[in-house]
Amino acid sequence: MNFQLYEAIETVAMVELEKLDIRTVTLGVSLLDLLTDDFVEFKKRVADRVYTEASRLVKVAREVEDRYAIPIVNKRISITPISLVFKKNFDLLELAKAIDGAVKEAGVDFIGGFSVLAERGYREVDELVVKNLPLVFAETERVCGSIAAGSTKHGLNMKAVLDSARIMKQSAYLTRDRDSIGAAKFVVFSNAVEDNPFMAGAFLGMNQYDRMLSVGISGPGVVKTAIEVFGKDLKLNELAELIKRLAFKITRAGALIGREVANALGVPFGIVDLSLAPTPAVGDSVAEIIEAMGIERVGYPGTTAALAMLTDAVKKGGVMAVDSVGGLSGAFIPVSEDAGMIDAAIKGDLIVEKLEAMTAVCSVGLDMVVVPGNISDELLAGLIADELMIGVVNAKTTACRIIPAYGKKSGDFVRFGGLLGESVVMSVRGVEKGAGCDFVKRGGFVPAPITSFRN
Amino acid sequence: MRFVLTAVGVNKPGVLAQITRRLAEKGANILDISQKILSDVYALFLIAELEDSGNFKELKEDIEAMSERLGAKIVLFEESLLRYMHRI
Repeated sequence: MNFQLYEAIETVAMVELEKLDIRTVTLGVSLLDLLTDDFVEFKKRVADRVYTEASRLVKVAREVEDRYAIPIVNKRISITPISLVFKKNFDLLELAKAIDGAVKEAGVDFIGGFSVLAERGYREVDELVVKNLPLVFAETERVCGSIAAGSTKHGLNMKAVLDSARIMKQSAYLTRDRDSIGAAKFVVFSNAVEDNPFMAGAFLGMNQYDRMLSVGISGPGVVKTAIEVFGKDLKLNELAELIKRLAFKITRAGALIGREVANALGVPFGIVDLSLAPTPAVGDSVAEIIEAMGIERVGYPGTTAALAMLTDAVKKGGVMAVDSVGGLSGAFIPVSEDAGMIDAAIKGDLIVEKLEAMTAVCSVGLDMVVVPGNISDELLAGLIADELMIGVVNAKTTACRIIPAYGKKSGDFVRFGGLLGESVVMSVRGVEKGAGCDFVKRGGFVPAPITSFRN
Repeated sequence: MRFVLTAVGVNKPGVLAQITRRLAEKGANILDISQKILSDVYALFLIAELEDSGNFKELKEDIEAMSERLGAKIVLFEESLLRYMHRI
């Protein structure tokens, strides 16, 4: 097969100059066959399995990385939602610590799946898990968790929403000496997906293989550079074509590496998550893509339209590139992890309400949004309910990973470090007046929405 | 197995010779090669074959380590990456 010099150079430049990387290879590991009533035995079985699988993943991922020019930034494990294998006599924190120790020793970056599926309501054991999640996020380093609180099919479980707000507040309080980082390890979903490789919301759903390898790609820098270099005078439909072509190439690279890792591990290949995932590095930003598309400043009018077009083009290019697409697929807008978003938030150009509008057209939701620590549980639950209902009504995934930074007020600054980045505390209407939200305190469900008469 | 080598750097005599000599020493057989020079900068691209894929990691590290001495950025990777990214 003949290749051209420019094709090879383009590939290398994507990695070396435009920060193309594989954000994560995530190995889903089922725990369903490990069930026993004996907690000590269960804990040992789970920690052993996680350690064995994680060690192999790290070794294989490094070998594959050596063969290609593209770095794999994170190696992660997702497990069966923990509440499905949990019993009343079990100790959640002790289990989490054993798992945390196993993944640290193996060299895996995060493990996801301390999760509760509560669209319909809680089972008895779910409440126990929910109650103990803040301690897990505070006292472990790499364990992430989530609550599935609503779906288009079931509506929105308001108790789970209010509990999620409390988990965020308590996790933030318990980690107040570290800028409330505990809350960054928790996410609440509507229409949660079972094959998501990204954190904090990864878990291995019941309809998946016992073990499977999925991959999350990255590459905002590649798209931004191409728009700047080749996209200056293009009409919007031509610009969409350019983005599609790039998404195709990026996805193919991700799929190749994912399949190689899966083959070497001897497990089925799951999905490629097509999301453009930013990092705090300048030039690796979704906000900068939107600005390169012609929006003067991310957050200004036009932002939602540009993001919608970007997300759609990424999906179209990606779907053409690989036969199994899944996860969250679209464009991420985690504020603290995106240099352009942080800058716009600091200057007041990007506000929470605009972010909420943006999430109606992209994946995933109010992500890594830092809000004042004195927000009431109910008002925070109201913010979550707003976000999740966008997903419920529009039959898409939405989520909240909100950090109510303890002791911080609007305009203060928090630093998490690493991929989680840093952010200004964004203001939320009503906080300064000490507002609550009787709507969420009513409890019960927001009924599932009608799916015809879509106006 | 087939692999790709790209090198981008400041043009000076002998760069190509040194890279290809090392490839020959390591038993890599060059299948395709092309080079362009634009003012002072050159870009080199070649595809080569290595009989034993087990030796690729060592070869890759060895040749990429020449980058600094040659004033170039040299990158090696398996050919399948190009095929996946640039061909439907």
